[in-house]
Amino acid sequence: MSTGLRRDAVLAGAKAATALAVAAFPFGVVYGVTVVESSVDRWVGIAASWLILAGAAQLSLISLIDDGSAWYLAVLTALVINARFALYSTAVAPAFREFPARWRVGLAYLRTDLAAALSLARFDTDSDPDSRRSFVLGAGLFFASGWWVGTVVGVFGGAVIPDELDLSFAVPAMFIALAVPAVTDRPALVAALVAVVVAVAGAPLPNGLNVVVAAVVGIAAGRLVVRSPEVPSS
Amino acid sequence: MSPAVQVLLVGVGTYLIRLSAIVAAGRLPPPAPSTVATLRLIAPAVLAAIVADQLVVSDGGIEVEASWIVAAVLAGLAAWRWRSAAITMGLGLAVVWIADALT
Repeated sequence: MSTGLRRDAVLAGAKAATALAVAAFPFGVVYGVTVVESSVDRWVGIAASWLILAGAAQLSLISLIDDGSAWYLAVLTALVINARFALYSTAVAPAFREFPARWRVGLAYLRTDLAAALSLARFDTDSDPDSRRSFVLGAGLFFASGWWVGTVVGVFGGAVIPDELDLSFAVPAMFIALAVPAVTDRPALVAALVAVVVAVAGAPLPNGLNVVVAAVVGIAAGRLVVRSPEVPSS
Repeated sequence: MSPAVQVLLVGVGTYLIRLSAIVAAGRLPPPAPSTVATLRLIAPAVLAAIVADQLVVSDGGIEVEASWIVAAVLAGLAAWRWRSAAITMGLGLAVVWIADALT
């Protein structure tokens, strides 16, 4: 097993993540502004973007701390929101088996929704372990940078961003840009459609559990289509 | 417990979640084709659930904003046609801004 890093693949990862990193920036700014408007120390809020690196969980944690929630409720809620990362971890695991151990533990840190989706798409067309992990590094690091820079700008300069510039749709748009290309065949389409229905039907579930439940039910539904012999799956 | 410690706990916990299957996979034989077929469904299912959640779910209820739905459909079509994150997001944001300006 070689330990060579492929510069071209690192750059390819960064390039694939560029538009998404640009979208992570305003999301980071929104988070940074939330920190400043809360009772949480701004440096703790900035540290969270490095330690947790997951927007939805960070927003939830800051707002629960600010509300004076019990510490274990705030921590548990954020971890439930991040439970989906276990699914991504499972999805990329076959490819990660080929990586050196220190790369496996290092790259796990950079696993966001976006980096995982880009990496999985790359693995379809690239079977070289060196090239694969270089791509994961480039995409993960570049996307995370958008979040880190956005956080700092939001904390220290959020007030200068005009109210008229509504960037709230940037986050769903970012996920649409990832979700649609991830649907590559009929089982994936079934998994996605069922997940949409269950996520909406599960809206009353607490702590963003509807997303985790919807994902699991969607995967199970897609699996039924894979199994059924009369339906061709490419 | 101080906010800093809570952030640290979530950070460590999140990292362990991210690491979970990676560590396990290193000790197991290569996955069977049927397992791989299942793993391939994870990304579309999770991402679609997040999109639906962000578009219409708010504080445990359902809240539909017409301009967001139109923008999401057009952005989705653009993503399908061009496979470009920049075009998808640019179009989605533009639709929302135009709708806001008109209403």
